Amino acid sequence: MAKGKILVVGGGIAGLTAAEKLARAGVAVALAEKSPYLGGRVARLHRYYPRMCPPRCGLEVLIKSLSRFSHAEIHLITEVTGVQRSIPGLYTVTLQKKSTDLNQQAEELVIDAQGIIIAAGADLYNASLIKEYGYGRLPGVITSMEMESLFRPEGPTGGLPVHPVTGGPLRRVAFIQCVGSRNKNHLPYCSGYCCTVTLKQVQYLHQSLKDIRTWIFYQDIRTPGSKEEYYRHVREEYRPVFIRGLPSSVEFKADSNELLLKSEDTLSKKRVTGSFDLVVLATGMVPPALTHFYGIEKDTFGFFSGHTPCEPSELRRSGIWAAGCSQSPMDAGDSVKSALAAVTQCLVKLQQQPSVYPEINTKKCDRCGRCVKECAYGACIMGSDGYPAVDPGDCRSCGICQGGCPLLCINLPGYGGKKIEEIVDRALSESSPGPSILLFLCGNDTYPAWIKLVTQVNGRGLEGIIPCSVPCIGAVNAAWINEALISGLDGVMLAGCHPDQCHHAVGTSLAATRLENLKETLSRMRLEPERVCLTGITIDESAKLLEEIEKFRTLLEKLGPNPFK
Amino acid sequence: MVQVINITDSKELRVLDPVTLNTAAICEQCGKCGAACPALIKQPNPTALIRLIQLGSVTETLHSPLLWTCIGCEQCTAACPQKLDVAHIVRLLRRLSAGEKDVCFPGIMVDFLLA
Amino acid sequence: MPPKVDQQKCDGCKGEKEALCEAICPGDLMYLKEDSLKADCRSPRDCWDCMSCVKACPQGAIETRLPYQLGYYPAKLIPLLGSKRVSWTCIGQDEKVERFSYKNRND
Repeated sequence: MAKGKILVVGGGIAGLTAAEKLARAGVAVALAEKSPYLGGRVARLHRYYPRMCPPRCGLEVLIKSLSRFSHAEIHLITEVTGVQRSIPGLYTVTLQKKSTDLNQQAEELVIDAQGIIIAAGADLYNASLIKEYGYGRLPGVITSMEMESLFRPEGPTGGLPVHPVTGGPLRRVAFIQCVGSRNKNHLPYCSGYCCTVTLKQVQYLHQSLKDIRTWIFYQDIRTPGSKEEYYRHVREEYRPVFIRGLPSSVEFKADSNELLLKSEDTLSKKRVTGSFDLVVLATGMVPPALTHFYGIEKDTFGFFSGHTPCEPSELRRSGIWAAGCSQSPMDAGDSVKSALAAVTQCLVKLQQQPSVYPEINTKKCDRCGRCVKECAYGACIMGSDGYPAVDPGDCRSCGICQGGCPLLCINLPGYGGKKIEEIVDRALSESSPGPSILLFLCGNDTYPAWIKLVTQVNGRGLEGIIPCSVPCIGAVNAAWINEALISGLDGVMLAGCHPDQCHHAVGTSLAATRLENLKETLSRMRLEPERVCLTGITIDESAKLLEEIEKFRTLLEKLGPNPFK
Repeated sequence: MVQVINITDSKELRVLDPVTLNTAAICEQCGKCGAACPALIKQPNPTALIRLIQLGSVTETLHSPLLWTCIGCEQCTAACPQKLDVAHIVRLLRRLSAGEKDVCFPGIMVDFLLA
Repeated sequence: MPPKVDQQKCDGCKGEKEALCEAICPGDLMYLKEDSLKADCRSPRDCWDCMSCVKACPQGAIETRLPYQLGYYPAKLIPLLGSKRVSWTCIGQDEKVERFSYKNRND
């Protein structure tokens, strides 16, 4: 049984999948769900794609399996109230469990977990904000989610596909796509799942009603992969009419109890109009409000999308992963896949051998906390004794902490100060006719490019270059650059990934800031600031690397030898 | 006055046969048949004809010159990614137009060719 | 003479409770301004020019003005700390530049 406990926040299909797989792998799991039932939104669907089976079947299997395990706890009506870290590699989470008995107080829980999976789902966009479609104002205008409930026995019509307000028969139903999505006034992005949902609901209607006709008002039908075959199948079997053009408004005619839609069919460039019994609005998803998780990377729309494509489940806080719609709007199938991805990352973290991680010299450290703030993964935290501490399982060996420490207290074994100093000393003992250049190369992009270059040119054009590889260009401490300059090397060049492509996200931009600060100091000291430079090279840009080196060398020849010689 | 088509009121589709209705249901309006037609002198092209049927307006299709300029080469059918029989629709509409007034008869084609 | 903090380069030591210049100043003269969270000297007349803050600042944002007995206003004294060496650049009133570097660490 792997050691450690994982907290899963959210009991929808993603949370249940993650918790159940972890429990099967022998990991202690605690599941916290804020509503009184498990299954989330998927439990309220009538059927799901592609086999059109009732989702409660799949959910039951997960819940039954999860409840079997004694090391799995399920907490309903429970919400996270706080997340603390004082020991590296451990999260202390406080939760509140409300009671169904109005007289009882809410219960406070504290869970210590090695990791947290955020599977809190997403909320649906409020359709009444799209005022022109009259949701909430006109009878017979409903959302896709409400359409699902029309077919459920627990729904407002007892499972009969009749008009939810009048109870009358449904003969003409219109679906409007992209409601509030792909729209700068509402949500600029596409939620991706809604086109298939509408096709599925067209199937529901035609399978249960003989006399029904359906229309879909769309902008684009987005059915990638095997969904395209489903799209063709729905078109052939059920014959909905597709109008390419979103309606300008929905109006209600009280005398005939019909909803009137006006649209422009962009394919024929003709105005079209139609009267319908029911209008279904396909809305998008918005990210959940999770106030207690600080410092977690979100994308521009507020979703926890992670570092795509390399590490999509990770959120740059070691030990916190995202799964399901919290990551990005997705359908049930993709939610399960993303939950399995998060479980894999979780298991790797719990069982992996620690990689190279930094040693912190607490004798020299004065607890300024810069390493904690700059750590790209949240692996370096301020321990309870006030000194920074790193959990070996969390560390990604990028060395950014080492690069930022003003007192050189952090040493990443194999990449630390000792190695650099040896390189500089060796370089000073050998003399070269031209300018001597210390070249820092980041292990992800530029060092492989350098190796390729060296084999290609066989050392020609690279005289005077002293290469030094670091895990990330953010691991280069300014003190080493100073050391090189003071000792008399003519120039220092930092070659890293391009700023928006840095594998560790912040490495190149931190190196750029440190270099800017140094250049300002150098100019005050009357030492040419051009003696240090930063360049961005990708793994296949060996030619550009050579160019940059030659440019730099020419510049240094013009500037003359280092005044410190 | 802007012409408006009522899409929910589609009695006109009753004159069409099952093959045509099937084609109209599956057609995604990608436009490849319209691009392939070598005999097109004036719009609507085959794509637009199918679109009119999809919108429920058969009468409007019966006035299009394509029904008469069509040479039966079936390049439209060959181009279709959904393997729909587009040429069949043009043939059917030509037969249906015999009952319509103001239809382009071949004699009047000369005006188009000279214009 | 009082230290001058470059407001662009100073980052308030990333908002930590005690900035590095604040921690090292023997006279307890440096502090972080409440509104901008940038460093400042609370009592310039009490500064005795030890230049510890200049050396401690990781961004190199502090500069001290030399007392007039050592060098008149345009003269500057700027340290640069390497990992094993330290260098001092003296720029005189007459713009003459002299540089000194010493090894100051053995570890």
